[in-house]
Amino acid sequence: MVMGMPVIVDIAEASAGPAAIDAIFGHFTAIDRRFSPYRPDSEVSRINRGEIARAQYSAEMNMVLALAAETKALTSGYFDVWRPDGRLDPSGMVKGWAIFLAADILRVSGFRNFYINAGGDIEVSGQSSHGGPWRIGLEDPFDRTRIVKILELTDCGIATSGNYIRGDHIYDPIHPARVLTDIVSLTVVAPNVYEADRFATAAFAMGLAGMNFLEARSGLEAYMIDRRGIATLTSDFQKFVAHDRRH
Amino acid sequence: MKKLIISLLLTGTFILYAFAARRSNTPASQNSSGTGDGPFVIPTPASSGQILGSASSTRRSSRYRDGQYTGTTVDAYYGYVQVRAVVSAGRLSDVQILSYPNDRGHSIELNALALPLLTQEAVRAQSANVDTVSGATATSEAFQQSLAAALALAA
Repeated sequence: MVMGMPVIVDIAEASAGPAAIDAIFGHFTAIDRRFSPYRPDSEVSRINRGEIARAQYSAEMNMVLALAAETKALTSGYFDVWRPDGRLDPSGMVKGWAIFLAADILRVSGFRNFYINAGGDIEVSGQSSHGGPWRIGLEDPFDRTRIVKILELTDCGIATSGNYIRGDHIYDPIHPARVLTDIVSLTVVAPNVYEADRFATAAFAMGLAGMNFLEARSGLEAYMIDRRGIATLTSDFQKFVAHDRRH
Repeated sequence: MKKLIISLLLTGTFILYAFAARRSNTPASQNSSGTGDGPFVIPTPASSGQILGSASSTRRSSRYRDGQYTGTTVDAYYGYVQVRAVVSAGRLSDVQILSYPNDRGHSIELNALALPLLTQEAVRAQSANVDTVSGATATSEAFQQSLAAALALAA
């Protein structure tokens, strides 16, 4: 576990050894040290305590802030690393970005067939050890021990944003008979996990309108599950679905 | 030394990638009914809407006291989640997200918005024959915890 999240790396090549894995986890540890809001000595925590002047932010922090600013502009402000109270929280973006860079560590080392899964965001490359695309399950937002969709992916990224309200249902006093369709899970498939993560985060914040945003944006496909267990798909999402019999 | 070189290479590569992406991306249009640079606005359908199910989902008759209750701030692995529960007429009528990894505190939308152009399906359990799983359970659990804390105050 690093960054407070489980990280799973699978390299489907015989030459893969501990050195590659060590490099990945060293990278994630360094990211954690700089960006984790749970480490009091991280750069993020120190920024939020006012201990670092703007001119003294690290190069990596400035990179993340620049990417965040671009994402904010692309999403009409629905993606924003600055909280209303002035606190910096780059968590949604840093996860995808960190995995994206970790995948590059493997590619620089010559690996082509692998996936890296950190907290449910995944970068997928090449083929699995079975010789075909990697099989990615989408977790059932109502039961994390179950899978509700199987995708076959290669050379792309996938990220899932979500929440789940269990037990008490939200009651709409204006429309008491209407079943509410709040989103519980939104999965985005993109050319890489950095793109998937930032747009899954932004689109989730947009509510149901997020699916229109994702549909309109080329290169992104999405699968949204609402509180009733109804899923909505962007128009080309089906191409990723595995052709298993039971579907 | 090797790690430093690799990290410099990666940073350089990423800078190039971001630059190229910026150049080639066409920003999403302010689509459909969006006006100017505000948040996306989709008109609600004139009819009673297409995403209406039967009112068969179990609604507990709650005995919460009316008011607004703020839940605890919960560690969601990589960000904070905090919600505020709003109780009206003894029932949970809204959950406001005060803090969410990269969310700006928007209320959960309560109105059904029709998406007639996109395919829909009921989710169904699949086999577990997969290499790995994508999900958002960390944030889900934090959301539930914060909400439960808020509702405990309303009981």
